[in-house]
Amino acid sequence: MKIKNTSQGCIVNSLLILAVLAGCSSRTDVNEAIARVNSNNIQRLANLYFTYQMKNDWRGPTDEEEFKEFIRSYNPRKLTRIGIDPNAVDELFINERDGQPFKIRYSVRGSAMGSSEPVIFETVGVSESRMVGFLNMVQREVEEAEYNDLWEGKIQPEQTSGNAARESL
Amino acid sequence: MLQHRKGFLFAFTLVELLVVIAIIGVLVALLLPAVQAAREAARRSECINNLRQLGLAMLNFESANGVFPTAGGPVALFTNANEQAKASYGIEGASWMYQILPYLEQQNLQQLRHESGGSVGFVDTGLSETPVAAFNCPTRTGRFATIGTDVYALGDYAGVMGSWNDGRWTQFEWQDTMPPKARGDFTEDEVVWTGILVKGGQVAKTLSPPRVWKFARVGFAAIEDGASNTILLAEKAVESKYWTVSSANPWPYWEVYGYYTGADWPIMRMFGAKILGDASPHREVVIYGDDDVRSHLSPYARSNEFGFGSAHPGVLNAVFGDGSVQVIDNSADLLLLDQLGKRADGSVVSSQDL
Repeated sequence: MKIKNTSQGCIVNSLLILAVLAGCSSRTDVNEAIARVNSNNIQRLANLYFTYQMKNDWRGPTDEEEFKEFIRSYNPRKLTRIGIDPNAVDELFINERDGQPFKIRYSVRGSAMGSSEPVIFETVGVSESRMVGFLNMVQREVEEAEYNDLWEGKIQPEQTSGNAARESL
Repeated sequence: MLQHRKGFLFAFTLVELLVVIAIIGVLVALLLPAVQAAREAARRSECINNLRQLGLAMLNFESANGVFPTAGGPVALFTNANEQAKASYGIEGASWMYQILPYLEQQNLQQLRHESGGSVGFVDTGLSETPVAAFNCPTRTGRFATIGTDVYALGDYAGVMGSWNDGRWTQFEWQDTMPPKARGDFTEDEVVWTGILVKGGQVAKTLSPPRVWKFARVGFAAIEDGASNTILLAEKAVESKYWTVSSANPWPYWEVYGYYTGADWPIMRMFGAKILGDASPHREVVIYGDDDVRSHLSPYARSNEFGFGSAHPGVLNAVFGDGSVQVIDNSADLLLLDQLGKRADGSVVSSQDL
């Protein structure tokens, strides 16, 4: 009886494994996905800057006070799902890497067709390189000279538009 | 084999078990492709059913309103909450997908919209991130974009625009808010919006006060080539690695802002046939399978999509103006398809010619 049970168990287990393999599919959770692209404060601030522009005819916030006021009035559910405590917005403006407040370029214009302007800058950074957050969801470390040029708006980002992209084919 | 002798029990030997497992493995290897093919066939049927539902919703919309839905307004209006609040424009900024929601028994979803548009009316209300099964091919998964702090559900079907190789197609800033006239006597609605779904109109924001041009909406009478000879919607091209859009670099304008974007690439596509032959100014827009490599494009443009295509091997599903669904071979003649996408170009073609 024991042998019969063992062999039956073997077959049942094999069939179960096959059924799982044949039927498995992955379903992505949108909350996890949006959290993944908002995993640190420089990303969150750059993305919120873009959100501000969307709601204000593609004009950037004029100063820190206006930016913070916008974030405080933003949908708390959406803030929470990107890892921001709606009651602790000030903490968002502090860089986790160097513990210093971010430098932010205000009044930067955006576009419905995307923009890659640099807006959020680490003040100190680590190992003599500092991270810059761009409006196209990119963050990268830059050296001193490029950092200064980006901060002063000397480097003009590529403008993206459907027509421009078509011309590049 | 299994025996019961004098109270002793004998099990299978390890070799016997391995042989059985090997046999099962071989059988599975033989069966899995057939199972996967059957599942894909089921998904293709479901995709066809989606298109049939969308076709019926369009026809019901036409019955109720006397015209088909529009493709939407200029995308620059759709994305701007302040602009859409200006009811005086009188143009629906959101796409045909938004307009037919009540005819898909999704009126509650439609009513989620705040009276203004863009980020307020569609994003903050959760409307833009709510998936609608009929808008998606079941073979594709993870169809959403995460842009900034927002999520956008992405669609798999699109209406048909004219070809950018039409010699009259030039200088139309149809994504922006500009006068619809480019040069000569040709206007945007005559050259770009030649299918059943046409843009609602154009607004020139630079003029004071802004000037509005409402384009003529399309009813059955305007489909001079015959509704059964004109493609209404087809599956749009999406490379499989972009089923989910998780970055704004490069800016994914061919998908964003999802289902309800105004008259733009996310909900309207073209066949781009070389109407002018070798003198055509742009490439033709071939029908791509989702796993086809877009290697002839420049690296920058490789992710861009302007045309039709599908996840189903070798074929493209399309619904015509009379609500009939046709399966089109991916190698079909683009000039014929371009003609089939136009409602009144005078061409004598039907789906039988493909």
